[in-house]
Amino acid sequence: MRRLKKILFYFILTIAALTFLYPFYWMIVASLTPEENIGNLSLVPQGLTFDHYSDMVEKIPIWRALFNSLLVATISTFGVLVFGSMTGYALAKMRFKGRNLLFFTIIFTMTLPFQITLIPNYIIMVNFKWVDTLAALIVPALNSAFAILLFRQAFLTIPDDLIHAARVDGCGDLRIIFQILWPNILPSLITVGILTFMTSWNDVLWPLIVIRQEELMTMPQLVTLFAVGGRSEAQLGVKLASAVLLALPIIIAYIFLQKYFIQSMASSGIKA
Amino acid sequence: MASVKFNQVTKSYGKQEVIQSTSFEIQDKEFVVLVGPSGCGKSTMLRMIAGLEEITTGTIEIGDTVVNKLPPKDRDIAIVFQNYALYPHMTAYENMAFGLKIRGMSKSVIEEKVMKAAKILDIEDLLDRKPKAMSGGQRQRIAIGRAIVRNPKVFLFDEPLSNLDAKLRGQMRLEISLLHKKLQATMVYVTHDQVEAMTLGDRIIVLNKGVIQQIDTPQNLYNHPTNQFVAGFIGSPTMNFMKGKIYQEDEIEVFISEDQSFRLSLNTVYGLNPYQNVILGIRPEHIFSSQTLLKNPLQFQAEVRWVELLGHEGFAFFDLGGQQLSARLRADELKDPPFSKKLYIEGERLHIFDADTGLNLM
Ligand SMILES: Nc1ncnc2c1ncn2[C@@H]1O[C@H](COP(=O)(O)OP(=O)(O)O)[C@@H](O)[C@H]1O
Ligand SMILES: [Mg+2]
Repeated sequence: MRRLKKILFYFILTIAALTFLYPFYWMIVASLTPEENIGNLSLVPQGLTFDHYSDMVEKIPIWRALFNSLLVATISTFGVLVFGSMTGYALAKMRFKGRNLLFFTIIFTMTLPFQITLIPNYIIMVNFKWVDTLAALIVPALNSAFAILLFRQAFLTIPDDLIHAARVDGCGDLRIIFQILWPNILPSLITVGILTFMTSWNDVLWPLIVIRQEELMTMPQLVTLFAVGGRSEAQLGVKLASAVLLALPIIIAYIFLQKYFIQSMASSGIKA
Repeated sequence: MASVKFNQVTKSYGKQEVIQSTSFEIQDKEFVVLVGPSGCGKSTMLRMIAGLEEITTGTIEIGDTVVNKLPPKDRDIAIVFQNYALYPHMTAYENMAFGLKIRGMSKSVIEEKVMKAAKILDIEDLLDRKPKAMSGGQRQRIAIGRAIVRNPKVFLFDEPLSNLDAKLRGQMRLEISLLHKKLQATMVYVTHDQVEAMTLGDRIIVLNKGVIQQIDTPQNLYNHPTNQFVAGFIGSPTMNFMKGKIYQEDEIEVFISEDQSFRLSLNTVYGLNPYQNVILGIRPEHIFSSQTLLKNPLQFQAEVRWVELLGHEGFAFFDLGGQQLSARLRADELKDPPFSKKLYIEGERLHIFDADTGLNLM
């Protein structure tokens, strides 16, 4: 009886997993299938070809876009970790006038839908003359309310005396944050790191607004424009090839950091 | 080494004044204990010495330097916390070495200092462990080690033994006392436990609600408390108190309890104001069952309601003058309650406090 239950349980889990995996699998298979066979929805590639990938590389500066995306996502993530924890530290452990007001203001910005801030942000970029520069993608992403909130909560759980001890040992605030506190909030760092990187990597709308030069585009932007902009000449295979390339880094990251993905989501109690 | 001097120091959080104007001096090499109930401002005072808390007004001097503006690292102090406050991600060795490393000492010098401290504290085989893998007592040793390696002018302790069990606490108390002898450093030790205060301190500062009540040697605090608070706080079990009035009868003073049910002739003249409202104080250990050894025995009859036996001795509880009092007696002087017994107060050990101000009138 128990055995049967177990079998049933795993059967359902397998079905569920397949339901999620199948579209990915199909995307990869189809991107390797000659155009005329894609419509068959078969499980094994009918005739293996890399033509879609070579077409794509020929038509759009995909490697350059990959580089841009990596650059933007890496620097933003680094910025959010550094500046987010500095802000969170100030809000959790320093005493100054207006601290709570500042905190609530930051929380308030989280409740604003991005559509509201989109236009003002764009105007700021125009005034800074940052349109069509990577600065427009990187600088606004260097801190985030979500990260500040998460870091503040993490720092609140750390006893003041640990910081006092560090001060007596000769640490300044920066050393306290990065040498004493960071090693003790690894789950929060990993959570924020992963979520920031993914958000940055997947963002299409903001790049579409501030970047028009093809060489400065991020991957999702370039791929989206390519897929919907008509230059793929309605070839499904090429579109799928670019989609695979887009998903690949996140999938690879997930495979290596799987443990942390799950751990950090569970420990932070926050769903992305 | 150095003295620590408070000059009219106050501390407020917003409008709340948690330390009222305070002046005192801790001598070089002295072991001073700051004692008082929880929330009275002990930690705040210690943190002001350490530079972890700003001073609202007044000055603090360490040695001959006013340190108000000096950051903690430049004050040449070390501090041991109740919750150890060890860096969780570092081994015991790294914890002890960290402050030295920041100060730019060479690896070999650091190792020498850490090993020396480890030897003093007998923690050599713990050095590779992280705090998580150690017991509370071991952690506190490492925390003390972290203080020792820096060889500071002043050691500060904030309730370092409060998280340990009773047996370990007794042992560590002794070790800290020996450490003080060995290191010959100025030590300021905060505790809410009057036993720790009495056993450790050269002098004790009794604090209540941000006001210093008395600064004195343990023996003087016990024998000559300046007010009712100190009298009640120092000594265990606590002193018996009884409200009443003083009357003068035939050249001697007489105490009559508030409810008129108890009358005690003091057998002498202290020069108290007649009809003054007072509080009589007598410690349980100064009530005896025989008058033979007493200088000024004051006899009364006790209706014992309850007895607590602790082996060699015990406590008799009885109602007198509308208060519950206790007397510390030998076990063989006690029997199953209730019973009636003639007891004697040692008049020399009696305290009389002003009922309004709490000040000791004797
Ligand atoms: N950071 C702070 N902000 C406001 N009030 C505080 C702060 N720290 C301590 N206090 C208050 O100061 C008083 C003394 O605290 P503390 O020195 O920690 O007492 P103790 O160590 O004697 O238990 C308490 O009433 C406490 O509530
Ligand atoms: Mg305290």
